[in-house]
Amino acid sequence: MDVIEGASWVEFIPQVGCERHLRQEIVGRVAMIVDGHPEIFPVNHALDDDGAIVFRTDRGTLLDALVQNATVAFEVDGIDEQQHLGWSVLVVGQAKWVETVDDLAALRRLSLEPWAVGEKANFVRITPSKITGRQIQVPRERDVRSPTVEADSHAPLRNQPHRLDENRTEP
Amino acid sequence: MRTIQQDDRAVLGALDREECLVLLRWECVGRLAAARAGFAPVVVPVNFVLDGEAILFRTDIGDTALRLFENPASFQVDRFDWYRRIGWSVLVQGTPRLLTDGESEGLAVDLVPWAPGDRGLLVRLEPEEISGRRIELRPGSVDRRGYL
Repeated sequence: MDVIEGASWVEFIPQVGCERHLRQEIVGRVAMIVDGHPEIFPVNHALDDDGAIVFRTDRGTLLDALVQNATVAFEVDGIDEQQHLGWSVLVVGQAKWVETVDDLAALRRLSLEPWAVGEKANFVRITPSKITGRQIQVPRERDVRSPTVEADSHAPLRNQPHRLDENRTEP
Repeated sequence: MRTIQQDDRAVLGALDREECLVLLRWECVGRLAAARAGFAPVVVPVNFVLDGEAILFRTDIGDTALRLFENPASFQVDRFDWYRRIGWSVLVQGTPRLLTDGESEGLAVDLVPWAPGDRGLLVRLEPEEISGRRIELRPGSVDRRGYL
């Protein structure tokens, strides 16, 4: 593992890397304008064969907003403690409430099970028009999990037991 | 993605303002979404500290987010535990404001930006509204919003 000294730097993530992040993450965030304010909803998602982002929802705020303004953003981010970097991928695209039977059948094969309560019978598909990603490499002497605190160089990253475990490896 | 039983689905419960603030205090990274008329919101992760009830973060001229100042914005944090199958999400809504040098000087903020560059500008998002949802595993009513 490389030891990085000095200042942090930003790298752009190539498209293939962005798509890999989008596939690997379980939860992403849909952002859209609702009554003039941006709102952010975490959703569990999957990518279909065309690389579109699919999630399920019940009738409610999110679906209502989609019908009025279909241009949305979808974001995933994470911290890679091994590589000592933080990354984020932002997708901008058109969200569409999937209604046709053929399309729904294809989406049901994605085995995208809703995690939260509710039937979540509505499938929404976001067709990306722009995907951008960037990662910030953080020097070793800083703790990526607690960037406001100076951590000893090479010291193990502190666990923070008051937090919910953040385990991104799905069994 | 794991299949779970119908009767084992999560219940989404609203968090009150105090609970949201407690959760915000434990976190160091959130997502800033800035509105832009006619476009999708821009979403960027930023590290932050809480000053009273306000979100403070650093930025730089030229940031996408900075160009959108004085427009409505949201700041969101969430955390999910896939084994215990609980999670929460907190959303702070307001209009971000760039602090003047004078205002920044008076603040003892221990906030080191991750990204390179000067990032000498301090931004304050005073909440107009704070809302949050807790997700736990028990059967119950359907949430009307889009969470998970």
